[in-house]
Amino acid sequence: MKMIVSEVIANDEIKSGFFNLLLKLSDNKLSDNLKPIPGQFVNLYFDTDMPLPRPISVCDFEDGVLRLVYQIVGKGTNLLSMKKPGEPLRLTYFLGNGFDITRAHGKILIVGGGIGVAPLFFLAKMMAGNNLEITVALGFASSGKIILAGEFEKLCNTYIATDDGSFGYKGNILDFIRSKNHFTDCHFIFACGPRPMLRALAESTSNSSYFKKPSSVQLSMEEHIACGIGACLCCPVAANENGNIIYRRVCADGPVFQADSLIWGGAS
Amino acid sequence: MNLAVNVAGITLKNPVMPASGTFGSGKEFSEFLDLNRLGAVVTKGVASVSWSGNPPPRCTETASGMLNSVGLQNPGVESFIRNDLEFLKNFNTNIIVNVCGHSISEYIDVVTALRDTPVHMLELNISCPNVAEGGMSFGTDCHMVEKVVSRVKKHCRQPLIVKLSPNVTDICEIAKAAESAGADALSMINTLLGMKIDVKRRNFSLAKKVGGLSGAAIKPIAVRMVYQVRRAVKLPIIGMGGIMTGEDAIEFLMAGATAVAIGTASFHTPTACIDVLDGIEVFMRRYNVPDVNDFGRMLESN
Ligand SMILES: Cc1cc2nc3c(=O)[nH]c(=O)nc-3n(C[C@H](O)[C@H](O)[C@H](O)COP(=O)(O)OP(=O)(O)OC[C@H]3O[C@@H](n4cnc5c(N)ncnc54)[C@H](O)[C@@H]3O)c2cc1C
Ligand SMILES: Cc1cc2nc3c(=O)[nH]c(=O)nc-3n(C[C@H](O)[C@H](O)[C@H](O)COP(=O)(O)O)c2cc1C
Ligand code: FES
Repeated sequence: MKMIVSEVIANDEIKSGFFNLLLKLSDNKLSDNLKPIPGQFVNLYFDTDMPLPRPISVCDFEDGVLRLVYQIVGKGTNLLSMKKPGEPLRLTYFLGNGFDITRAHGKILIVGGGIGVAPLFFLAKMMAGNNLEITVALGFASSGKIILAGEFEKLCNTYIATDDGSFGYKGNILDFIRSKNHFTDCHFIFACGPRPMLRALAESTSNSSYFKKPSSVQLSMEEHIACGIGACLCCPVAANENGNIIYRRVCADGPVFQADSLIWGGAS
Repeated sequence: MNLAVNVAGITLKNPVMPASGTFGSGKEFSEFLDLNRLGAVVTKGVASVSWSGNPPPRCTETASGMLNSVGLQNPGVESFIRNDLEFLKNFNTNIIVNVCGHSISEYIDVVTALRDTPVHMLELNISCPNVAEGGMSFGTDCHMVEKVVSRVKKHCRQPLIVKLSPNVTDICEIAKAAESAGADALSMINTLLGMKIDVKRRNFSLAKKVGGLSGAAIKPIAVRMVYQVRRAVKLPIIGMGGIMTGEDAIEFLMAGATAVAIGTASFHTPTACIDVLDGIEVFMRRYNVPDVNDFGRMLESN
């Protein structure tokens, strides 16, 4: 983990409310072990009247330039959208445990929902071209909220669903997946998106109602963070350890967890 | 220039340390700063057995502050000794362990387990829920404070710091109770009880509904309380609550604290403890203050 002051190279609105941010990590001596793993994130810092960092996933990384894609949802992301090229932005990188793609083989399914597709782009990019059969299935609320779809299509076979049917399949992305026989025998499933989507995916992979037993289902989880580096225990996700419920840290043990290790509780 | 201070017979090379619970046991933060430079490392709360903590969400930002309801999640003192202490003992700094418990006997179990370890000081977190009293904090009642401090103190081999809760009518009364029960030092303040409601979701921001408020927002309250307690008791005070800069820390030293702790600021800047220390040094150089202990004698109309 490291802290630096990066420089904003570009910060453009790609869809209403969604931004593409390019940051030069001014430290250009990035050694190999400081390259991000898909699913890892950075903490962005603002003034002291906003003491907590904002975690944003790596969407791409090349030649010392970090790409983030974010949605405006509140004070921090709104401030972020006003950053101009040349301005400094303090961040810590690269944080958390990303997707484990070292053993990925055979048929691979990447499932994304909403802004959750951002880290999946880097994941798809790192896996594409490795003789893997990768399919991407992305769900959005409506056509006006579709992001990165064209870029995914350049990498691999991509399907889109929208809740209101304004583009692609009408319905949620899991209904789309279940409407096809093609995905039942996926070996590896990677996902990031809203909690109900991740929960439904976890359940349909564990009870084999649709999927035959995949070898690994990895979900990127979200929780409010405070330190974002593993020290304060503010970001728990309920997990199962030898039959006991334990809280694991989204920012350090995750954000990516094996689906079968998670406990979802009552409400989703 | 002298930065060293003495708290209950223990010399700290400088007055700056992290606040309990915001720094883990230092391992994560050691990637950003040199633990050897700190006056002490204060660990998260450690109980006799593991505590699972509260359900999420456990934290939320507020105006210049935050609320947390971690609920003292910790792996228990045995695991702490095996893992955290094993790591911390390699550094040239003082180790202060924050001790929590649901009952007096649980507190005693922790300090007893730490007797023969390289721990330098113990910090008794009396803001823990007192199970026997229906979950009410130990730290809000003078008789309870006196009882828990005097009973635990008998089992301590290291100096005992008592960490005061600000959620009381008169913090000076609590401080006096801790002093008369044998506390060696005080630390203050712990978080203030608060609540945040997410009006769009029509729900509480924290799963526990209430949480502890910390950060810059609480600093004026903390400074006021340190000042009042300084005049009520003789014990050295470790001051904290919203310190973000060296000058914030000096405010506490002038109010009467011997040392300071940095909590929420470490979330905003992982190097905050060192930045505060550097800030104190810069101030001392600029304003010709030869000894950090001089700050306590500086208030003009004391
Ligand atoms: C590991 C991880 C990766 C993420 N990656 C991305 C990404 O690539 N792109 C993106 O747009 N968003 C991402 N998010 C969500 C993003 O962190 C929040 O949208 C952002 O923190 C909101 O800040 P705000 O000040 O605009 O909102 P506010 O609601 O004003 O924030 C108030 C507080 O709540 C926290 N908060 C609010 N919403 C969330 C949330 N959904 N998750 C976590 N904390 C939240 C904020 O950090 C802040 O502390 C990620 C979250 C996590 C945990
Ligand atoms: C996330 C978090 C966890 C905390 N955990 C503990 C704890 O385990 N024991 C304790 O005595 N105080 C704990 N505290 C209180 C701090 O040590 C400190 O007293 C308080 O946060 C005020 O300082 P600050 O404004 O600099 O953060 C915690 C505070 C925070 C924010
Ligand atoms: S936010 Fe501090 S441990 Fe995850």
